[in-house]
Amino acid sequence: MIIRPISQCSKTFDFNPRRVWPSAFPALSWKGQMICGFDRVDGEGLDLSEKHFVDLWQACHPELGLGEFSRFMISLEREWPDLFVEWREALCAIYGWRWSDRLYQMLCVIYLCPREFQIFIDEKKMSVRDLAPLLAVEDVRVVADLLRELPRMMISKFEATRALELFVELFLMGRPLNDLLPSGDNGGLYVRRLEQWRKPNSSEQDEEWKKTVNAWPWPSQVQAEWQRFGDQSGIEIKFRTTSPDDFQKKLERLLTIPDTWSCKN
Amino acid sequence: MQELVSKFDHVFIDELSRGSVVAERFLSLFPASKISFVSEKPFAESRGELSSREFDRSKRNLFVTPFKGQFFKRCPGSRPGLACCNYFVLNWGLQCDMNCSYCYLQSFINTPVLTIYSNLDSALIELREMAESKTGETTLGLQKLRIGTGETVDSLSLDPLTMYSHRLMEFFREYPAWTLEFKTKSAYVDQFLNVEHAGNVIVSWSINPQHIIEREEHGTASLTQRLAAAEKCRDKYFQIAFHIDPMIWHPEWESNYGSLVDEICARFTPAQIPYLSVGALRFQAEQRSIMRERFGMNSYVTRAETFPSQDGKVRYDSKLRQAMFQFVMNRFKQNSADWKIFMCMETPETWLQAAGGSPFKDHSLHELFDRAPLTAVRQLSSSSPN
Repeated sequence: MIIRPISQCSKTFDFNPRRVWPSAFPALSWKGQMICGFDRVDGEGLDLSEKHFVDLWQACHPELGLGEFSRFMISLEREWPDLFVEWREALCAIYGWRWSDRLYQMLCVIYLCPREFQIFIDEKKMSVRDLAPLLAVEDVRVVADLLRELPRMMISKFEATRALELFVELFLMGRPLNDLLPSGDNGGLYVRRLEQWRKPNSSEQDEEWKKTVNAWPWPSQVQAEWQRFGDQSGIEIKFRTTSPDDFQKKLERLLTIPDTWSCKN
Repeated sequence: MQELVSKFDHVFIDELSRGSVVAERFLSLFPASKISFVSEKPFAESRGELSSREFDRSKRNLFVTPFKGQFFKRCPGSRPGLACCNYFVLNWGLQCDMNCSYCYLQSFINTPVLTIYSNLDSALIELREMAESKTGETTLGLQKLRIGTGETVDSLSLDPLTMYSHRLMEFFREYPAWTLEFKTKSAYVDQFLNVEHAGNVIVSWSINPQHIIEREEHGTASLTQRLAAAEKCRDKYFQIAFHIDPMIWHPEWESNYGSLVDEICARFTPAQIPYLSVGALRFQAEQRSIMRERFGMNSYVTRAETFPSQDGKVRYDSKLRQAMFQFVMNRFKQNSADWKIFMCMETPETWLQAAGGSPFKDHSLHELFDRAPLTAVRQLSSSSPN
C-alpha cells in the first residue's frame, strides 16, 4: 500500500461535492490525483493507482447529482481527454445515465450555470429532461440572473422545472430579462404569471370565461368554476344536496344553465 | 438531380447491400468521393436520444442497408380514442431530407443517418404473402386496403435517387383493390409519370399556405410547385389527395387557409380528388426540446399555445381546433358539397363539433373508415404463427 503526502497530490478533480468525505477515512488518490477528501490540505492519503479508476470513483462517490457530475466530467476532460473518452460511458452508468452527445451538451451547459443553481438542481434531483430548456439558450450565462433567483424561492421541483421552461421560452421570444425575473419568493405564483405571458390568448379567454361563469345564476350550495382540463376547458360543478326534493330542485335550476351558456357561445 | 445529390455529405452503403439495385443506382449518381462501403452502421458513437446537431447531421448522411423487421404496419394514428381511417404503412426508409419544424421524426428517430432500405423486394414479398392469404371467404388482396409509404420518410423526395415508385407501382398493378399512396412535400413526380398504373395510385401532398411553408417547412417544394406537380399527376390519371395538415395557427390563418382552399378549388374538382384530410398541429410533449433547440422560438410551432391532450400529444385548445377545421370544411363546402374531407388523428368529440357527426356514419367517407379491411388484417395477424 502506497502512502502519499496530500501536498504532493493534484486536486484537479475537486468538484466540490455536497457530501464531506468522512474524517475517519483516509483521503484517496489515483496517479497523483486526489479523488476524495478534497478539503484536506495536509497529512497523507492512500494512493490506489493499481485499482481501476471507475471502480474507485464509484466506491467514493456512489451518488452524484448532475451539477456535481458536470463539474467532475469537465475537469476530467480537460485533464485527461483520452481517458475521458474511454471512461465516460462507464462513469455515466454509475449514476444511471447513458452517455450521449445530448448528455454531454447538457453537462457543458450545467457547468456554465451559477454554482448556487448547480447545487439547487442536485438537491431537487433534477433530470436532463427537466433542464433541457437550457440547451436552447445560446449562452446560458445570459440567463444567470434567473438561475441565481430560483434557489432563493419557495419552489417545488415541478414548479422549478416549469418555471425554467417558461422563462427560457419567453426570453427567447424577446421578453426582457428584467421582466421575467421573479418579484417574490412564491414559486407557484411565479409559474402562474409566466404561464399567462406564455399563453396570452388562452389565458385571456379562460379568465373571461371564469368571470362569466361566476356571474351565472347558480343555485345555492352549488360551486361552479370554469376550468382547463388539458386541451379542453369547461365547467366543473360541485354541489351538496340534502334530500331527493332538494336534489330535484337543484337539478331543475341547473338545467337552465345550458340556455345561458348557449347565448354566450 | 444534381440538387438532390448535393444535399448529402456522404453515402454509406452497407456491405450487405452491395449489388442491390438501389446501391448500384447510388454508385452511378454520386461521386466516388462521397461513397463508402461499411460493415457497421456509421456514427456508431451516436446512441440514444439524438442531440440537435446529430439530428441535423443525420439529414445529410445516407445509409443504404437491408431492413430486418416487418415492413408492413398499421398507421400510428390508429390508437384508442382517435377516430382513424384504414391506413397501413410500408416503410422503405427512415428520416427525411427536408426539415419541417413540427416533424414528428424529431421525437422518434434515434438513428444518426437517413436510412434507405435496400431490400424493397423483401417488402414486396411480405405484401404478396399478405395479399394472397385468406381471411374467411376472401383473400386479403381483394379487400380495399390503403397502403402509404410516407410515414417515416417522404414518399417521393428521394424517389429520383431510389426510383422505388416504379417497383411499387408495378406491384400494385397486380392488386387493383389495394391503393398505394405516395405522400410528399416535394414536387418530384416526373420520374414516374409514364409508368403504367392500375388507377390505384394516389399521389398526395401535405400542403399549407406558402407563408407557413416558408416559415415552417424548410427545404420543401413551394405550394405552387406542389400544386403544379399534382396537376401533372392528375393529367396522367393518377388519383390526387391533399392533406391540409398540420394546420398551424398564425395571426392571418383565416385569410391564408382560405386562399389555400380557394386555390385548390380553382385548380381541381371534387371528382379529381378522392379525399382531403385536415389535421391540426400536434406533437409529443418530449419533442418540444429538440424543436426549440433546432428552430428557436420564432417558429409558429414552438411559439404555439398548446396543451396536453388525452392521447399524450400536445395540441391547440380543442375549441380552436374545431374552429380551424370548421373554417376549412365550410370553405370547401361553399365551393361544392362534393368535397370529401376527413380529420386526421382527431377525437370523436372534435368530429362531432367540427363536422357534425362521426366519420363512421358519413357515407362519403365510408370507404376510408370501413372497418372490414382492418378486421381482416387483424384476423390474419392473430392467426399467424409469428
